Order: sequence, then structure tokens, then C-alpha cells
Amino acid sequence: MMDRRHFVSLTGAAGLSAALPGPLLASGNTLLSRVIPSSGEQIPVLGMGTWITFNVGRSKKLRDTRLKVLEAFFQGGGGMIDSSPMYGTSEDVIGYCLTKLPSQKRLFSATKVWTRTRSLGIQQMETSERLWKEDQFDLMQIHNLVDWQTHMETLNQWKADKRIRYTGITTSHGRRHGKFEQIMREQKFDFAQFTYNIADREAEARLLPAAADRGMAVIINRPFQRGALIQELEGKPLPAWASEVGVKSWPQFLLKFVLSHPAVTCAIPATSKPEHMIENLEAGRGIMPDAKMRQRMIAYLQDL
Amino acid sequence: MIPLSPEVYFASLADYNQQVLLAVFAFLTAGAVTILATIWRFEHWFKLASVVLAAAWLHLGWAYHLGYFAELNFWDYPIGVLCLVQAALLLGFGAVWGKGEQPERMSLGGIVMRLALIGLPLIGWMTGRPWEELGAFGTAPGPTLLFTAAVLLSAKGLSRVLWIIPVLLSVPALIMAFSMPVWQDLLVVLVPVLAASAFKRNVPESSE
Repeated sequence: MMDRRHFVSLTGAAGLSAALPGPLLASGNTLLSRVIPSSGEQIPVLGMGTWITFNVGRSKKLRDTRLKVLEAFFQGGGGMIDSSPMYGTSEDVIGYCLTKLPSQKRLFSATKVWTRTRSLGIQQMETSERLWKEDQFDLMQIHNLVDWQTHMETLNQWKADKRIRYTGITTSHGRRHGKFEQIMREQKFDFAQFTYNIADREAEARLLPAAADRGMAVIINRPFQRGALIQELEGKPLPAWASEVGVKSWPQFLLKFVLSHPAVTCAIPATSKPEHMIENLEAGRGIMPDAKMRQRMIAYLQDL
Repeated sequence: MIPLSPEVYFASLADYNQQVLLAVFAFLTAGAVTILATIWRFEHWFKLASVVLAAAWLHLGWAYHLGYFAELNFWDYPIGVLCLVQAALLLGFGAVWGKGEQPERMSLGGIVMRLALIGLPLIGWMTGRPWEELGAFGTAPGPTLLFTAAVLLSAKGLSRVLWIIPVLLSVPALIMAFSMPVWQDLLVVLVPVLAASAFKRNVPESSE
């Protein structure tokens, strides 16, 4: 069994943030990627969420620690960064970090509109552009269905005008799945984002199949229930058969479960620590569990 | 659904306290004068206390919630606005038209005022928080809410409308106290308790 603490000590992560070992991360062991159905473009299966973790205000000290997280993310092959105006200063901090990193071709910028009315929505999206220092977001999503009909029109217009490349809609915590599924089936979005993890599997019944049916890319949030699953499992033994798919720790176990669903395009775990980012990205490499192993994974956790 | 971590909350509080250091001392002094006025039996004590509280709530809303923490936490926008409303209400229903009793030195109100002004920061320090990461009366929610409740125990008549916003805002304050945690601010639970006792005390007894 390996918990976060053991993994971190083995990778010598105490010094890792100071000098990330390029050869280790760029060893040719690249992240798996998945196709965005609406375009055929491929993106890495692991992205990064920024809820709470990147909301650090104006402190240069805290911003620079997040810079190290972003460095580890890109060096490890990560692509999508997901944020929102709801996340406090996260977008500002992302913009700060991106200006300090060399131009990242792999960056897939994804944010959200989270307000009511068309004019406030446009204002908010333009603020996001300014904060990220992005001329064109890869993905703009309607956050938690807020005024979705109004913003859908704006997003479609922006996509036609090439101000954004993809449109999306989000929910989380298992909320409003009925309404969300209805929107997925009746409207045209490139991406759908919702919660799915080994403990919260409601999306398997309807949302994931709906996304597959409709040719929508799927972004998974809360793969760890914001850390609660990792805390619950810390200290408990990993099954020996987990090594068959390259799993060395519980976060990797949880991520591989999510990523192994065929309808999932990308998961966006959030972290404030570079060593955890490196550990998470490992889950995006190598073999994924098949259907039989997924059932074993669920059963193992239920028996713990 | 609080969008910031304990790490960021306490770092931000330390940064904020540094920026409002003068206000911290000013409000501690004003709070001490308010308490001393009960010992001196100052005739217009309730009006004086209302002016001090109005300034405290104005600062709390403008500097703490809207000026600093709203950038980090969207809940601080509506809370900050409510603080400004409370400041206006304190001026009106407290300082101008207010009616209140003169609290006894060691009455419940007197004790809770001292708890809010000195006790809360002291408890926070004893839980291991450095001074710069502690909230104070007039510059942070917990001590301001508790001090306000202590003063409002003396309120009479229409001045009791001044309880509404502190009771409402004790809820997010307690949520933050549990979440971060800010152990000393758990005492904010006294705000609705004191409000209930104040209203119960003023309900006429049945004539049956």
C-alpha cells in the first residue's frame, strides 16, 4: 500500500518543487489523450481544476507556490485548466502563473460564465479574457446552469465569431441531473461537465450515456470528492491487483477508475501541491482498468 | 460552499490586519471606552455605544467584506452590504432615535462586551494562532457580532430591530468558524441565544 506521504517521499518531492526533473517527466511516457467528438481534436485525459486551490488572493508567496503546481502540470503533460469567476481570484492567479511560464501550446483554457443576463455574461467573459490574458478561450461553459438559455445564445455567437472554440455546460455534486440530461439531449454543446467518482456514480445511469449518444466530450469534476475520498482511504491497503494497471496510490486508483469510463474525455482534479500534481498525472499513463476490473474496484471499496 | 482554504483565509486575515492596524487599535480603544462608560454610568450610554457600533459595522462592511474578502469569497458581497445597512440602522435606531438601558457593570451585557473585546482574541491566541491571524472588534466579524449582541441586550422598543442583521450574519460567521476553523468565533452562537433571551424578556407575561 502507498499513501500520499509515501509516494511523495519516494519521489523526493521535498526538493522537487525547486527543480523538477525534466527527464523523469518527459521520459516518453506521455499522458493518454482522448478525442473531443465534435472536432476530432485530442486532449490529455488529465486536466486541472482550480476551485479553492488557486483562490489565493494577492499574496505573491502563495501565487508562486501555485506557479510550481502549474509547472509540474505542464511538464507532466497536462492540458486543460478549468476555472470560473465563482472561484474568487483563481482566474487572476492563473493569469499570473501563465505569464511566468513559457508559452504553453498544450494549454486548453476552459472557464465559465456564472451570472445572469446577456450583458453581464459578456462582461464577465471579457473579464475572464483579461485575467487569463487569453484572446480566445478553448472552452467557455455555462456554470451550474445559471441562466443557461440566455448564455447559450451568446456562446454560440462567440463560437461562430471564433472568440471561443468550444461551448459547454456544467453541474456538480450530483445536482439537477434530470434537468442537465434534458439539456444535453435537447441542446447542442461540445462539452458537458459533471461530478463522477467511485463513490458518486449516478452519472453512469444517464449523463455518461447521454454524452456518448450526443457526441459530447465529458469533463469530470470532483474525482476525489474534494479530497474526502483520499482522506477516507488513507492508511487502508491498496489491493495487490491494482498494480496490474500501474496504480501505486489511492489517488491514482480513484483517477484511473474515473478515466477508464469510455465516455469520459478528461478529469480535472485540483491540488495546491506540485508533488500531488505529479502523482495525479501518473494516473493518466499506461493501462486503464477494463470493465471487469472496474467492478472489482467498486466491490473492493465497498468491502473496506 | 466556501471558496477558500484555511491556508488562504488565515494568510489573508494576517495581510488584512496589517493593512487595517490603525483601525484595530482605534476600535479596541472605542470598545474599551464603551465599557468604561458603563462603569462611569454615562447618561447617554446606549447612544454612545450605537455610534461606536455604527462605525464598527461600517468598517466591517466596507473594509473587511467588500474591500478585502469579497475578491476571495462571493458570499462577502451580500454580507458586506448587510453590514452597511446595519451601520445605518445603528445610527437611526440607535444613536438618533434609540432607546436603551444603562447596563450594570457585571451584567450579562457587560461580561459579553469584555468577552468580545478581549476574550475572543485571547482565546484565539491560546489555540495557537499568531496575533496577526486574529480577528478584533470593529475589524472582523466574530468579535463585532458578539460585542453588538452585548450592547443590544440593553435595547428597548424599536431599537430591537437592530438584532435582525446580527442574528442573520451569525450564521455565515459560525459556518466560517467551523470550516476554517476559527475556534474562538464559535462563541458567536451566543448572538442568537442572547437575541432570544432579549425578546423573551420583553414579552409581557400572560394575565391568566
